[in-house]
Amino acid sequence: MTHLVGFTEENWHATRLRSQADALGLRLEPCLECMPDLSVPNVLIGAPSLAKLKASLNKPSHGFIEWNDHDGADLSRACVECATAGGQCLSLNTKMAYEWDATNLFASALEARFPHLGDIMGDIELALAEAVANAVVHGNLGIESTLRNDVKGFVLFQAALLERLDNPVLCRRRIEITAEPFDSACVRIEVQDFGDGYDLAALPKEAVTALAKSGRGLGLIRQLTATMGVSDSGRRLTMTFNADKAPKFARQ
Amino acid sequence: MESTTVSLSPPVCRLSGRLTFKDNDAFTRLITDLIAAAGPEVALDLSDLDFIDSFGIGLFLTAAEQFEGAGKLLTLKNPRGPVKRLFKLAQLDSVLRIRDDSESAAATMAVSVETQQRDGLCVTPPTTSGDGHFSVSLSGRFTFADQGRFQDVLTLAESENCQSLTLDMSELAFMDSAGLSMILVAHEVMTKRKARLVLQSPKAKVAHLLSVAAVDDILPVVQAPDA
Repeated sequence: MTHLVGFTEENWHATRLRSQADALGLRLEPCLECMPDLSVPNVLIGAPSLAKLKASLNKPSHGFIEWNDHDGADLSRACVECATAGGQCLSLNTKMAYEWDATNLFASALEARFPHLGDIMGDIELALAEAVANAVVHGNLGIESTLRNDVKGFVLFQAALLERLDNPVLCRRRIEITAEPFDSACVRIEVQDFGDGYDLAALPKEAVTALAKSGRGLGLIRQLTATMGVSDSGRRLTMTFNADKAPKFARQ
Repeated sequence: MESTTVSLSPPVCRLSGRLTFKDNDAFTRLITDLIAAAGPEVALDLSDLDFIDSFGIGLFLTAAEQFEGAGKLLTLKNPRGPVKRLFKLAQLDSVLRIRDDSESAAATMAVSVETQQRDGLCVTPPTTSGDGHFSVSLSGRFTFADQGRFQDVLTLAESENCQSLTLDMSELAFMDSAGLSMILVAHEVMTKRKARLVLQSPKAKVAHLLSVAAVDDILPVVQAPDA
């Protein structure tokens, strides 16, 4: 297969990036424009902008991996491996994932890349929205969902969200999303955060009631996916979807 | 946080420094003292308050409830800098009485916070037929990041003037469980005071979320009369 190329603009001379790319078997090339018009499988690596994200989530690119020399975060292994295998990836800081609606960007690109998933894109988009919201709010920003049980709780929740999005450490934590097809009709989607993790066994086992105002996310994901699993101490959620099964959630 | 009484009639107390979880005890004592003081209205001047965290906002919300319980009014005056920004972003002006002595500052603020807004939920101003029935239209995408934009709807849901509220969802393209939570809070608030929340004309993705989450059994969902 054609070797995956990592295009980078501002980090071309960064030795730390070079050594990390070498370790992952990724060939780095300089990118003079926002996105090269070359028909080779590639990912775009660097500081995020909305234009870069939109361009790199479309073919022939396999996604965008945020990398900055100053913040110490490593080049995402999961993203490079997913792109190498022909999937779609996104690594982005928490603040941008919140402001740019990472779910919408990723799901739209996924539907264009893998048209055979069309019938289950509704399931995928909702499950991905729940997973990304969990990763941002409870994972990287460490906010409890139990706040959102009444009007006052929502105000506090909103205040905590905005306050922590301004926290220079928390807002730079990455959210990684990878989507990799397998078999002929299935896709595996993983969402990784870099928060403190949680103990899955400590979560309530019983299903939430229809009137519940928090704690619905994981239950919905369980309903919408073929399989679902949590690893890395609660920081990584793995979901699989099967396009041969009837969608639980209709397309628009 | 430090507090200084700057006026006794009407009572005005100026807060300075930083208001965080560390100030819980001192702030609670201050509020108790202010409620015990004479006069129906008390103001906290925040012009020298440099910083507030979400816990501090919780303290203000609790204080406002305590004042209300005592039949008194709490006014927060002249928030500045980061404090003002957080108040505005969290839309606290819809739940707390906030006043600014310099009106021009308020105009400047309104411009600066609207930069960097994301695409997402759009909420129309409420319309009413004058008999206690209100309608609001939602459009775009309603996710966890849009909760601040729904705050005005919650305020309306709490209003005694609002006997029924219809949320027109025909232009709402997508909603996640956090959006659903906001709607359920509005439903609960209205049910408690025997008022009614109705969801109107949800489209495919939103309708199916309501179905998957089994809330369409609990909340009245109707189609627009002319649909």
